[in-house]
Amino acid sequence: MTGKALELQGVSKSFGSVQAIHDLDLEVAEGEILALVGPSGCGKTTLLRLIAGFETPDGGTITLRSKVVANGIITLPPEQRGVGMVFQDYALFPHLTVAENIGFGLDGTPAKERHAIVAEKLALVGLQGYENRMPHELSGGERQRVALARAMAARPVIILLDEPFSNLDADRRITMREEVRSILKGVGATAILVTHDQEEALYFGDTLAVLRDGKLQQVDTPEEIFHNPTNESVAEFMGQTEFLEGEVTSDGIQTEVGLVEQRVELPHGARVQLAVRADDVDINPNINAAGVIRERQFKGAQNLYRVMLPSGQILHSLQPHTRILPPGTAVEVLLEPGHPLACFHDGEAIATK
Amino acid sequence: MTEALSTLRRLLLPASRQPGLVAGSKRRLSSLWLASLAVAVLLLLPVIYLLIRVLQADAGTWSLILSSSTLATLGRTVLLASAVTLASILVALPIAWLTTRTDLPLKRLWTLLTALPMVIPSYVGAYLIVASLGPRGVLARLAEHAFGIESLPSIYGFPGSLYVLTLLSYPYVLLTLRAALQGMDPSLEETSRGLGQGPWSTFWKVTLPQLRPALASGSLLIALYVLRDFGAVSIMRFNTFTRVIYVQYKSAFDRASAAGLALILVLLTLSILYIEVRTRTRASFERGATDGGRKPKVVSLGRWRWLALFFCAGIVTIALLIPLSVLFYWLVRGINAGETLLPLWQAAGNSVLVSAITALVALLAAIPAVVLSVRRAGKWNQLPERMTYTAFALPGIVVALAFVFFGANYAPALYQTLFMLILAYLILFLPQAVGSLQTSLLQVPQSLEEAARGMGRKPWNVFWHITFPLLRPGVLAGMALVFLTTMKELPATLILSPYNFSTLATRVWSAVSEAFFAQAAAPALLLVLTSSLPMALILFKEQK
Repeated sequence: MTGKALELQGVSKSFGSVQAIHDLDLEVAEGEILALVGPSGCGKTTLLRLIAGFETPDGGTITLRSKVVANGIITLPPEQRGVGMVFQDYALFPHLTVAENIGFGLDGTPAKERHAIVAEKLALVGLQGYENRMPHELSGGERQRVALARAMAARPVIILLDEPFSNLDADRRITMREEVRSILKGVGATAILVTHDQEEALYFGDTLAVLRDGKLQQVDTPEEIFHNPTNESVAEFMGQTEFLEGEVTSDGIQTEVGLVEQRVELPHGARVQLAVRADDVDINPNINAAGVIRERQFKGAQNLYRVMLPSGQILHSLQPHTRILPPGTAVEVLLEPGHPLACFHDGEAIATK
Repeated sequence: MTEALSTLRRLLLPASRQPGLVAGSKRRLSSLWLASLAVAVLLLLPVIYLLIRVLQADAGTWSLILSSSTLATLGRTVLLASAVTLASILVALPIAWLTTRTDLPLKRLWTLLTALPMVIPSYVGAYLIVASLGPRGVLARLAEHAFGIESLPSIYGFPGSLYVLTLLSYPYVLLTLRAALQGMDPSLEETSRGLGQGPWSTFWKVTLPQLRPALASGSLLIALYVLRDFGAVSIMRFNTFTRVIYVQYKSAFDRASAAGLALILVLLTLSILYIEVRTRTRASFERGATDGGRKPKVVSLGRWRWLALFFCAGIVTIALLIPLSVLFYWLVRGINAGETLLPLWQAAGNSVLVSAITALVALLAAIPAVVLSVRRAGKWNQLPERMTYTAFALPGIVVALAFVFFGANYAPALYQTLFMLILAYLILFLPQAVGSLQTSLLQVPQSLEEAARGMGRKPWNVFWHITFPLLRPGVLAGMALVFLTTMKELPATLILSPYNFSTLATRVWSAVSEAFFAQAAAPALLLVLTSSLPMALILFKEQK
């Protein structure tokens, strides 16, 4: 990882009165794969289109491999940026063959060389011999691979993938994302993947950037974002999280289900929220306990229990598939995460001492 | 006409609801915008001029325009439009239901045959009715010889107009009804049956309410057809606006009052159009999610099918078989009488020439406005495309008159030249080119163009290598549509043609005006044949 492939500084974009991107800074290193994740409507596709040159930023600077492509005064058109794009609908030209599609961006290249590049890219995505097929003769996964080969053919500075797996069915989606990732990593490509699926983002990105309401919430490794979200909205978005009320005491944080031995830099008596996931929670049947199982969801390998506490607070607990407790069972709820829980005060993360 | 009208719905939709909008580079935007605005302004010129002429009219002219005879004309026009619409629904509703929902034998044949009358230009239809039932007509003579009936009740005036226009225009409501019946989600009717409603009550409570939008839009198409029609009412000598305007212009050379009447007609057309667009917009919202390819259950007619067959056969006989037989009768008579076909080829050549030029010019004029409206966001970018639709408010006779005034006063060098004729055609038929181009451009995903831009191609290069090849079907359909409607156009051709320049349409007209029925047969047949082509295309598409 040497230089920066992409750098955004203070980029803003609004459509009428809607602020889609708000004063955003972002860097992507050469060879890095960044997963840009956020709920729908958060501005992630707009950000991608700003980088590709299909939208003009209102302000801020976009730099691609140390070449300024947009700075509020000049805006380079898409064809002069060297950005490869893989669209959600693949956008294969329906009237051109697979080879013509892949070679479309190579019109200045001599025919012989072009053929070689096309063959090489087809081999890379495992579609040797598909040169003369038409797009409509391909399956969804094959189209996806052609789109990827096409985006890579002109050796772009960066490859942008806009929700590329959302048109595939669930099985194909998982195999395709493994395949696409290993192809990109294999050639050391720099890429940004836009997705609304946090699981996909956790798998795909070397780095994760969480976007919400046009602002970057957190940019970090997947593990760091999962375990130490900077604020409640990131924690909530990263999935299956309940927020449990607690009060800071000298021994830790006192909650409805007991004391969590975790010390934070807040005065005693301060109210905090602990981010609790289903795997942090254990349950034991106990007639005298106040928690009640409301529902059991059978997930195959596991049972997911929904438990209601006397205050109305809901917690989920993940249990082995062999452990079956009927709804209505009174249970004691134990919070034994084995690691510090993400803790928030007024929506912002609080460091554990 | 139907295809072009379907794009009208977008007129009332806010730009943000339309797919595929993006901001582009400023420079390209303005050149596109200027080009399409130039076209739009050119189209609006005659209307503006007409308006000025009317406003300049003196008090005497105004009292003529607003006289009781104008009121009577208005009454006749509205009466005819309503009567034709009502009669058309009565004919079309049973046919639509029979051909989509029942086990009627030979359904495909009836579908084709009952839709065909719409290819007959109205003046040809009127000519064939006059040539069969009129004083010297075939059937009139037959009645005289066989039954000794010396004179049939006169077909001229209201009854003849109603008869002809109904038979020519009921297919418009038939097609919208058929489409609605086919597109209807069958689970709605099934749910109704499941909730204990019988077949009749289901039809009244579930099916018919869902047909209402189709019924409304089909009716309005027919009303527009009647308002704009010049040929049929003129041959039938029924004084609706179009005929009164023509007579006024032709005999009295009273141009200001002709212009005034034309303006009233435009207002009438506009109000119908307004209702039409409103209904269509609502109709598109009312259509819920449909369940893919699932077809509704076929109703078994049992012994009722003989009655159904008789009904379909009767309509086809009256609307298609008799007129065509009469046409061939006069054709053969003419040839036997030594009618020379030479001038016909010249007229046909003229028709093809002006129509082809118009089609090409319309395509070139439509492209900038369509690209602008589909690919660029913002109110101002939608403006030129919307302006091209002014022609929908303009019956051919009105456009022709506006050009006559304009040409006589400001551009005498262009007056009665091919240039001016083609310009008038352009105003009348540009919406059809715009409509089909727009439909196909909306089907080309914008991501294709963006992918090409991202791969290093410049906008024009992308348009030429990606967009245009994918637009080709729409381009061809649009040009064919413009070509064929231009072939049929009568009043504009009649008024604006250069001296001694005759087309198939004017040849039919002048022959019929002088009751030379045999002379009109050959050009009429050629017109019917050329107009059948797009119809055949539409039907092939529907059956795919």
